[in-house]
Amino acid sequence: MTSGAGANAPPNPGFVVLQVHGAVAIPVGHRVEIRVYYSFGETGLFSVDPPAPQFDSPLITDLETGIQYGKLRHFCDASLYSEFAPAQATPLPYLREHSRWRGKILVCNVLFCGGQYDQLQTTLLIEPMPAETGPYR
Amino acid sequence: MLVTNWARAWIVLCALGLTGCITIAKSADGVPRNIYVGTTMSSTGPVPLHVHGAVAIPVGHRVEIHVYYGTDSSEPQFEYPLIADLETGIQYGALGHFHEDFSAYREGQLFEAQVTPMPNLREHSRWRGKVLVCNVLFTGIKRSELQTTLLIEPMPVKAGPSR
Repeated sequence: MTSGAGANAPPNPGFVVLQVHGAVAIPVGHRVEIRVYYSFGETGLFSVDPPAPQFDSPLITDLETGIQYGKLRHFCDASLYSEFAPAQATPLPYLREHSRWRGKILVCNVLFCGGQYDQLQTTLLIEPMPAETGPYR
Repeated sequence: MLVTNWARAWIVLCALGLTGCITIAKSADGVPRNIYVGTTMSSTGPVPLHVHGAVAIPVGHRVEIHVYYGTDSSEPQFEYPLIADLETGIQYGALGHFHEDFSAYREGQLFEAQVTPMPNLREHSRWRGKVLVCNVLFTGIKRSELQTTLLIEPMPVKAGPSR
């Protein structure tokens, strides 16, 4: 995820550029919700990697269609499967959320990258929406 | 002598076969009638496009097809068009349309692609049409490969006002 300065900086400093794996075809103008979760962390023989927010693999919900775009690990904790992974319909309940924000799609480019596994990548330019404030109570 | 004659015949046959396979016919309006290597077409009408990836454009949507020249060649890259869905604004293209050339690729690598096409791209042709058929196919060949077949009805070029 990039925002701000750089050769590929978005045209407006407030806009956010997301580069994500796969074909995340969300029409321009659609509202989306972006959720970033923590990794589970890893304990190795000589080191421990604490859980860290996974900005490069967010769970993106198209609020107009209800379609969610995410990683398998958001919906499935199986490491071995034959043909189809036993993915749930909703995110795993024990995922720890780092952040959540909403925005509007300004640009959506679905790109064929080639490579060994014919990777697809999507570039999204998102205008963040102000957080909704509830009634005073 | 017999082996030489067979070799000559083989060379001639190969030349004829290659010629038949690489023909790309163009119509008078500049709309390519055969976008992928491997077939020849002389008929007018809807244009078939076979592209890499999942290019899921609903039937009936208008699209604009851009064909660019390769950065290191003078040949137009018909097999990697940039397709814009004019109804949704989504663009489907190749990484090279939005990112400079790269030499190495790591599995799982994410590129910092631009949001607009690279300014140094040289455009070969541009045309508009309406999607008649869209088939997104999982080929499952060697790797998990996705391929899309589009059948597009070209739209007539609009004439501007006289001035």
